[in-house]
Amino acid sequence: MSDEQVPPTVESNDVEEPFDLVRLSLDERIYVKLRGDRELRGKLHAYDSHLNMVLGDVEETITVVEMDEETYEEAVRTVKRQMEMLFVRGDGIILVSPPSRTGDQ
Amino acid sequence: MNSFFGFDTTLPPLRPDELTTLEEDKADKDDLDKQIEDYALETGENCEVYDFEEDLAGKLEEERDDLNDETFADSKEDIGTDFDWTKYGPLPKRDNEDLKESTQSTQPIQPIQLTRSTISSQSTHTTRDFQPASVDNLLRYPSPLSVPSTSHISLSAVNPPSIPHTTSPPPPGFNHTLPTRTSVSSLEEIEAQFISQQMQQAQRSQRVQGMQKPQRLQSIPPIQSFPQIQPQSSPRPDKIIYSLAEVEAALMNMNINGRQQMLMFPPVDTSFLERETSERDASTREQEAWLLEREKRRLEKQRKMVEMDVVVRGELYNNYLWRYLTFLQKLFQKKKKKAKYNGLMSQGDKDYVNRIQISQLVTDDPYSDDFYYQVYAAMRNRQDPNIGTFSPNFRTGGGGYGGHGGYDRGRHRNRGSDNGLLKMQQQLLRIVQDAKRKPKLTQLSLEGALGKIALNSVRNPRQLLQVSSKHEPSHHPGTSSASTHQRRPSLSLHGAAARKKVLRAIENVYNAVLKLEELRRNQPNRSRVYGGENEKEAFENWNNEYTEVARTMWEELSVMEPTTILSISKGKKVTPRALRHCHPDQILAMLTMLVANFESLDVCKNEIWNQTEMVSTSVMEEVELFMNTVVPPLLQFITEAPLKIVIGLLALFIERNNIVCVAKSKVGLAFLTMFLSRAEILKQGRGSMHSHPQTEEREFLQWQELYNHLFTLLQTHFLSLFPPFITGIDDMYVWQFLAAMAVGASHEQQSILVTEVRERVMETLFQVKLQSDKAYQKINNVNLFLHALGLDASQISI
Repeated sequence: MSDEQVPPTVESNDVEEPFDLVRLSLDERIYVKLRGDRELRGKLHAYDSHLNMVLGDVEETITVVEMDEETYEEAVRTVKRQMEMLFVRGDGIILVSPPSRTGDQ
Repeated sequence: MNSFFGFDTTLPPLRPDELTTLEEDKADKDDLDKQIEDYALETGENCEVYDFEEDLAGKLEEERDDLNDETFADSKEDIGTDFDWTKYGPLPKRDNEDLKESTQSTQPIQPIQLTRSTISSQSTHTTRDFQPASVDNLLRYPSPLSVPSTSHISLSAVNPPSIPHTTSPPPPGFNHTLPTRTSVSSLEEIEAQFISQQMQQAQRSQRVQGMQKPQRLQSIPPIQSFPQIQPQSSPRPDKIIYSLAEVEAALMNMNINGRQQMLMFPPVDTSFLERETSERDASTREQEAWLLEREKRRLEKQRKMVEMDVVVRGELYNNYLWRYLTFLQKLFQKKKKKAKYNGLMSQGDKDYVNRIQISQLVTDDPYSDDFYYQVYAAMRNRQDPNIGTFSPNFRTGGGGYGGHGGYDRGRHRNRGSDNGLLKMQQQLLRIVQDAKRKPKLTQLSLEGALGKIALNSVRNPRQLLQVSSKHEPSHHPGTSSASTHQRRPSLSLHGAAARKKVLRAIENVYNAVLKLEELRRNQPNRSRVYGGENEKEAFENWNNEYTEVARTMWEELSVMEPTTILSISKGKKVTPRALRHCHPDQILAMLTMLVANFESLDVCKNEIWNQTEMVSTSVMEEVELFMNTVVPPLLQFITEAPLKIVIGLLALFIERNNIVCVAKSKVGLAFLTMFLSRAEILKQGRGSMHSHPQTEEREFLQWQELYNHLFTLLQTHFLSLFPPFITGIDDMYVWQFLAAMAVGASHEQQSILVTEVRERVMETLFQVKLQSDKAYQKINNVNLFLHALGLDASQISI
């Protein structure tokens, strides 16, 4: 432990493939963007190679765009749902990030 | 009208096609006779005893074939109602008992099939198993078709002693299972004859009831105690004219026993039925279909009657009956749809499909491949060891279908399915062995083939991406190069990067811990020390690997300061699991590090009470987590530690941290309590210890000094250790600490303690007086402290 051979590129040891980043977020709250204008914020309990995920204590935000039929004005509205535990199928996932990056948690 | 206990027993006339079949059968029979002769020559057995009158055999044929059309639901003709006993109104008690027996006769039918098929296979191979002296052997001969039945039942079923030929008609499914019907049937006759002789020798008297079994198959001549056979081909009985009362009674009967009626026989032993359905025998299902068919026809007939009746009597039964009928029809159609394809697959086919499916699931390592099921099963078994028909090792390589926990092997009726399971188990074992023998191929290159053939499976899906894994060794604990991956947190790294580093370290620890836990599970048997060289070697290997992985884990764990790892909740969670694999020296090292940097622990620095600010719930959760995960293993270590270590740790604790501040956190106080109580226990047990009394004495003096130092530090702060009342937090841990302090305190120190905490004591007791909410608990808390001083809360008056 006393050796000072700290590799110069410390960072490269930590993350070598994208999944490593996800792995570091295990048991942490994450932000997940999904197809269909959906977003999830929750604690990552598990994931697999398909990026299927099990999230706990999740808040789902669905963005709904409603078109006024007469004026053709678009009204954007968000619907929020709260779920204790959620299985997310990986094929719908667009983005995964720590919530701190998104700045809204 | 011929009747037997009020039931019509005459045969319906044979249709022309039935007659032709009969003639063909006769022709085939000659072949069989020849076979029997050959067999007799070969075995030197007297086959004369099997011989019997030709016409008897003919009659037997009739008996066995006449109901086939009804049985197999092929016939579109209307079936008579001659089997319908409900038309006679409510059955007298006597009859009900008979019916009970008659339902049991569904069971005895099968043994015949069993023996017959056995013989049929023997007739071609002429094995020597067919010994006349062993009826039981014959009957118990394991059937290739998994026919569920006990031999003793079958014996009684095939044993109408006086008329051996009047065995039950063939079970449905007979045609499917045994295409070579004719030769087989005559063997059955032989067998029946043979059995009758045996029985006659035994001079066993026969209960008349035993004879009534086949009564639901009405075409069988009445079986009576005399050996003559009734004239077989009497004309069909005249259509019975139902009286209104009879129909009504039948309907009532039906309605009352709705469910049972659905299952055909009013007094059906349902447990038996369930068992039967569970056996999933094709023939059983066909039998059901056949029974349903019969029921339907009966009901249709009844419906016609009722329709007439309804016109006269109003719509009394209308609703009820129609609902019932439609339900039944639906049920029947469903059943019939299914029944159409029954027997399509042979047992071999089924086995093959099973094999394919199971082979996908076989694994050498159920814990990693099927982790969640394993844990689930383990938890469930812990709750109730009786549940769980498949124990956790269901998928284990060696165990195969390890246990049928709740499976009742004692039940003979389950023998059929038991056999099935046994077979499955053997197959599974074979598959596992094969899989072990073969190296894990992912691709197969055939000579001359263009490209490669991929061997994919559930465990081994097609690989789409080849990622070069440079850092593989660091994940693979077997290699010692892991040590080159030591990373020390550099001070230049802050924020996200540093955090990532910690997270990474935690993940590596998890990897190692999982690996260690797996190794523990697969630990070779150590007890067999004088086992073979292989075992010794295996244990050596295991030991080496375990040590190696444990070392890797420890390195990962100590790369970071323990406080950084413990500041993240998953780091807290992994700690108890990691410490389990640690050497006591390592635990001590970790504890020392932790104590020295206690202030920087998140649960310490974030949870300092001040009177105004509330601590967030997330911090409280972290504190709870810390108390539940990290503290117990450390506490266990401390409770076994000698005084020297306790002194060292406490000294370090006081020296390196702002003890007044740390003591205000729950975890800090918990650590202090831990040290204090251990020292106190050692102090009180001093007399019983024999080793090194002098060094001991010195140590106790040291301890006393340290204690006094701590007391002086905390003096005037004792009250502030308590969380404010408004937080509503259980303050037991503070009382515990105070008690630990009080026990070791001198008289002056005790009085100081009491003076300082007096306010809190009073307040708590006052609260208890005001609201009884949690009163008992609160008083107990206070008493923790007061008892240490030799006082009690009841002595204090407010």
